[in-house]
Amino acid sequence: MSEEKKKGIGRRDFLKAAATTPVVGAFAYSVHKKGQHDEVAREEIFSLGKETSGTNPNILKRNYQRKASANDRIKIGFIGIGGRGNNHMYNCGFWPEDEETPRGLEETEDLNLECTAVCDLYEPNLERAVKNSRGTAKIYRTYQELLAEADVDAVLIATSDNAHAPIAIAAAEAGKHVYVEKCMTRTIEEAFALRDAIKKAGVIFQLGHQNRNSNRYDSAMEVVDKGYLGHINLIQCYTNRNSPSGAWCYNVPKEHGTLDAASGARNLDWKQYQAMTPNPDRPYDPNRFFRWRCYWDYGTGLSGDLLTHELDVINMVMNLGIPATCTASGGIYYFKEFQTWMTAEGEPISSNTYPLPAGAQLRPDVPVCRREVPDLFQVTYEWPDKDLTVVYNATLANEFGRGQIYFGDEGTMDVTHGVDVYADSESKLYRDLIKSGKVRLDEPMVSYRNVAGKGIEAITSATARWTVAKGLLYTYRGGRMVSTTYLHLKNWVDHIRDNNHDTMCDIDGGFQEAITAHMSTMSLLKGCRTRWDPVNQKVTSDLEDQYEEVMYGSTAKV
Amino acid sequence: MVNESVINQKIGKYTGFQRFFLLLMRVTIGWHFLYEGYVKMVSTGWSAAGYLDAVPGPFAGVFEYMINHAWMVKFADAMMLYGLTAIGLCLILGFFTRIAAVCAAALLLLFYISNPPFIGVPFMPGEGNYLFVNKNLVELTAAMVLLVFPSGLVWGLDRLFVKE
Repeated sequence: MSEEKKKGIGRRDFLKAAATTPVVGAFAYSVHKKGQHDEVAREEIFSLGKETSGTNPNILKRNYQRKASANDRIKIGFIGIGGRGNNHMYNCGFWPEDEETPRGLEETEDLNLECTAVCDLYEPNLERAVKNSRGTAKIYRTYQELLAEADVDAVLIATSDNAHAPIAIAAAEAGKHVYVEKCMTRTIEEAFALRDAIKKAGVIFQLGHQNRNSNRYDSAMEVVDKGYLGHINLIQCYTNRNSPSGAWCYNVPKEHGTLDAASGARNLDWKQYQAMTPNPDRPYDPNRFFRWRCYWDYGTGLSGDLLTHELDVINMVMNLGIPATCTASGGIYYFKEFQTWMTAEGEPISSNTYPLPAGAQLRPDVPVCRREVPDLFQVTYEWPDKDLTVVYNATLANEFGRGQIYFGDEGTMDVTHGVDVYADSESKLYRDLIKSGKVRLDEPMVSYRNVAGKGIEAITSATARWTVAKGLLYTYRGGRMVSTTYLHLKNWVDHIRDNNHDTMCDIDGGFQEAITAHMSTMSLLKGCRTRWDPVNQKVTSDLEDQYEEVMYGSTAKV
Repeated sequence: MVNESVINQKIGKYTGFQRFFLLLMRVTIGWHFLYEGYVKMVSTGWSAAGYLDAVPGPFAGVFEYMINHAWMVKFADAMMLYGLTAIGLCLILGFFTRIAAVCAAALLLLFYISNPPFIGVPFMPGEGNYLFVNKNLVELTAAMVLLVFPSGLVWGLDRLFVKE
């Protein structure tokens, strides 16, 4: 017994202690074998792609690395600070001191901007903007004053669409760099004028299509570039929404009134607002200010607001330019009239509230909203020189997610939730892989998701995954969630610092976006096909006059 | 030589088969954790942010709170990357077994409430049919069993640290 009471570790004990160590060895070996197998399967699929053609310049614009330092502060002015403009301010680093860091901006680089000027037609927006700037911003009530007097190097324009071109042109002529929200302009004429002004002034321009920064398009562009889909002949894109705010019936604040109102709040410069439309003498209607997207005087409805999101992405991924022809149709089938309500005590009720609370009554200060722009809209664009058709369809009375799909003769790519590439059942390129079972037809052949990897990882075997479908708001960089608006603003500011005009969505891309969108508006209003004449740089149609009458003339007709 | 009677006191008198399957349960749970941790370590830049953001169900508030604080997301990432791997290795090797079992149970509880198979909760897709009891819960219970039956002392590195 005394012998066995030896201190220390005997051989039996050691064996029992280390008994499970071989399991770790078995683990390492299994993982190695699996890695080899996955590698082989993945390589087989990817080897079928062509060499990168390098013909899409948009690929090079991604993940731009600034060369200059960021030591000098750039002075920014904000013109138009409603919902979107306020969001811009946050993404530039200007939010009220008592608020937490906004989502998607937790670890982002400081853009080193100073907000020196803010301009808006609605007084509460100005107050909020000054609070965001933490007091550094000076208030200007006309954009002309801001451009003439303010100490700004660059301006961000997030006004209603009708003011985009006039203000951007004036800013360029004043030598200020310009970031303007989409749609770039309200009309075809303005698109030409703005393009000329920006090119002449040589300022750095960015159009607000922040969706371009979503990292799923890295993969989409690679898939297209390497020819995994074969000849892409059809692209479908959609907008589905089903709420009053989705149909641009935003809330009307409790206190609102023109500067020359007989009584009540006098906080809205209606005269200046309406002066920038073809109908400067229209009487005050709060619907036309707070729900401007519903009216031709200020916007273009579905084509300028939502079609452009889809088309701009497709243009970037496919490098298409302006289509040769366009046919559009649509109508007001659902939001024919919209009433604005308040509680029994007179407090505004938000537009999306359903059901209305007991005792709710119609607001006497807000007339019934009767939109002019369609709430159901479809467009067919053709690029005969690329043997390609793009079809867009939108409804504001259904929320089913339909996404964006590219159809090629070898495969199909769905960029709705990430990037999913399906082999076509009749594909010749993947025929052997389909026969051998390495590629299945009922699930994506290749799937790109944000769950793992430095943003995107190509997963060729079915693994459990969770997706975050927030393309317009956030994307992932280095595994971290980042606001795409921030990235887009950073792209612009970096280009200002480098004096580099090739921003992510530069004036040429902006011009293409505007013309493509407005071709559909013209087609809708004229009821005929519209065409782009690249030689003479003109939009033409098979009928005359009605577009001009609506967009430049008097009453709206649909 | 390590005292067998001390070990017998701690783990109780069980047959060889009982000890073997206890050990097997420990090793399989360990392998499971080790592989999950390994996969995340190997894919560069992995973050739990995406998963945390998509949590449904009655406990969604907890995860929403987490995702709104960057340091909590960082902590979650560290737990997933290193915690899972460490727990897995410890369970396989029988090293600090009880601590590893507690941590495993805690993590499994978090996984369970982040995707609870309750009535009316739209849970994330996966195979199988579950109502209140799912594989996370089963594994969680198994980890607790490991806690109360310290098998690291039988076949594992913990054996080397048993005091006389």
